[in-house]
Amino acid sequence: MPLSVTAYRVLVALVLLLSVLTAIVLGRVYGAPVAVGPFDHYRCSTGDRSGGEGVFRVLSTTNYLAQTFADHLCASNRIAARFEAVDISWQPREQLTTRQLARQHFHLLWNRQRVLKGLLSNYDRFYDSVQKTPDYSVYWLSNGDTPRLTAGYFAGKRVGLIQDSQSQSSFQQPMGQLQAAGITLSDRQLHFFADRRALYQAFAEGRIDLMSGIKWVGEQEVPPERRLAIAENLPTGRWFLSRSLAADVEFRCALLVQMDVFKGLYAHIDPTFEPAHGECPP
Amino acid sequence: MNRRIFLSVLGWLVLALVLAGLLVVSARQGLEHSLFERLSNSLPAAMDEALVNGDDRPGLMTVMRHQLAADLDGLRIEGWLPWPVLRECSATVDALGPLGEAGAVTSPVDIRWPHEGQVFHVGLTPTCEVAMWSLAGQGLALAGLALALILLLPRPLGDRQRHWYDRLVEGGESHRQARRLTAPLAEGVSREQGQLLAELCQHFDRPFAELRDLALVQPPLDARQRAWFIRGLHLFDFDVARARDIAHGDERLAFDLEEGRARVRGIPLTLAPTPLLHYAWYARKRQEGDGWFANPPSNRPDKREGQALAEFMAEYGGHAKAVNDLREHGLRSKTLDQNRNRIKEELIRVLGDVLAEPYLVVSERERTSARLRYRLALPADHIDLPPDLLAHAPSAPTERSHSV
Repeated sequence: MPLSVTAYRVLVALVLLLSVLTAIVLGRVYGAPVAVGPFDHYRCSTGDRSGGEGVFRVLSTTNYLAQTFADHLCASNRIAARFEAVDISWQPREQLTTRQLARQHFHLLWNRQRVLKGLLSNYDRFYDSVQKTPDYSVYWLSNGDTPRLTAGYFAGKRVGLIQDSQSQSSFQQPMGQLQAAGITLSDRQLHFFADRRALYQAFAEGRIDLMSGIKWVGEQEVPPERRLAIAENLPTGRWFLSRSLAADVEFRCALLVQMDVFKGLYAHIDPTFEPAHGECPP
Repeated sequence: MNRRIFLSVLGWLVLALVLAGLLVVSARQGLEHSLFERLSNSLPAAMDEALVNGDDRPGLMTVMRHQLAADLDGLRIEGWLPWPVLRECSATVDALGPLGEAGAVTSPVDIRWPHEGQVFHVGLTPTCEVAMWSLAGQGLALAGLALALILLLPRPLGDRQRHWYDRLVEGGESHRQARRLTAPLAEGVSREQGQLLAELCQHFDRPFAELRDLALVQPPLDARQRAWFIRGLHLFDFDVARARDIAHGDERLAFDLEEGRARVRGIPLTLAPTPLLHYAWYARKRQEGDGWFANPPSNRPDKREGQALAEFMAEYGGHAKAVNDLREHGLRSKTLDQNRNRIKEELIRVLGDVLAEPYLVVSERERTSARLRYRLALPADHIDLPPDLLAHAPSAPTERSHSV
């Protein structure tokens, strides 16, 4: 069956179209699954000065000064002699597990005793406390008026809290105080935020009336007439070092020197605080 | 043939180029789409987690940016074929952070998600090297396949070829034979040649190939020439050269009275001496004047003209009886009518209605007397009479003397 010229041209066009479509379909490339993150840690390498013990892991409760601290450790000869890299994490607090503690996954961690004890009752077999961090006071901070611990005051107020139920200052203490005072807040009053920054932002913008925290919001101190004490002299916690490393006095003392980096952080909580170095030479 | 090969190769290369371009563009888009799909799910969750304790935002952004860039350095590419056209891919982080701060530029991979009343935004630009060999290979292969398919298609028939192909198939030829026979008709055939072929097929029961070749060899002939050509082929047993001469010639009526013949375009007519000489007589009149001669009235034959015609006929071998008849009775309309009819019959017999027309004796009615008058249609310069004929002619009577 011969074709007319028109039919032939149509078929040629179809073949060309088919080849174009095939090219487009063939070109569809799928990138292999890319694993990204986690982003809540920072790692640096100690360089060629080979340490055979792998990665020195640190757990903090904030990323503030975390990179600086890790970089200092990476530059330190004593650390480099034993470890090939330093990794500092500021993962959400609830991610710390009993198993991690028992395995001493983290070599150095900042936490509260009661938390560690709650996770692993004989934690002190695995970790030594090497430094205490400053105590602090928790306040109700008000955007406008003077806070009072009465149901009448709290009625209708928008209260800002953090979702992390582990948070002492932003959840446990304030809720505990209200419970003790017999003040119940409705669900509509409670505004939960994913992180402290968001909470501070909302407070600064007036989207909430009350929040709890230390008396500094950013660099500003909240004046006494706009704050109400919830609890005073609460511990922020301690630095814990795995027992085997703590036994190496030189190592421990070198580490404590590096940890002075965090003075900048402590000053925000208590400007008069001086971190102790224990029995280490000055 | 060479031209066809050259065009095919050129087409192949051009198509390969186009397809290769499409392959690369499509691959890039596929990569961007794939990255977007995968990271849309995993990236926001991972970053939100880091933000929980990420009080130092600027510091956090720096760390996350570094980490993400390291994660995206060196992407493995998978395609449907083992040889992807892109390789050595990585993605750069254009923007990371709250929208607004991060910059307004839209990246090819743009992931946004809400976080605590803000919109967080990560912009990535994937870059890849092109695997040239793979690309060239796939482009050429794909284009080659397309080309092969096209070449496998049955070649089309042009309209003219198609027309003849259908006719042959209808007439009982096989498809393959019909295609072969009509192949020379694919292109370069003028309308006149096509017409000629149609007419040849109509008139002659000869093999198609022969008629086809005959038609194609001719220069374009107009309708009249074609008619003469075919007539010539009929009359002279398919003598192509002779038919061609006839067709290309002019209208011409030639009298050879020595031989007793008249010829139209060289084609001899078979006429008895009496009608032949009447024909010549009309021809002479055409050359001497306007050619019109009115039939004499039935009750009054033309004596003078009869005498002249009788002498003319006597000189050129006319029948004695006819000659005497003229001398005795003069020129009668009945005689003229009879001879004209015999001339007409012969012309139509040899040439057919259409071709004979210029050579017929036509009539019209005189305005003044309403009598019929006749003359040879053909103009004087197309008539060849022996030169001595005119010399012998008595002085031609004018028309006025005939309107008695």
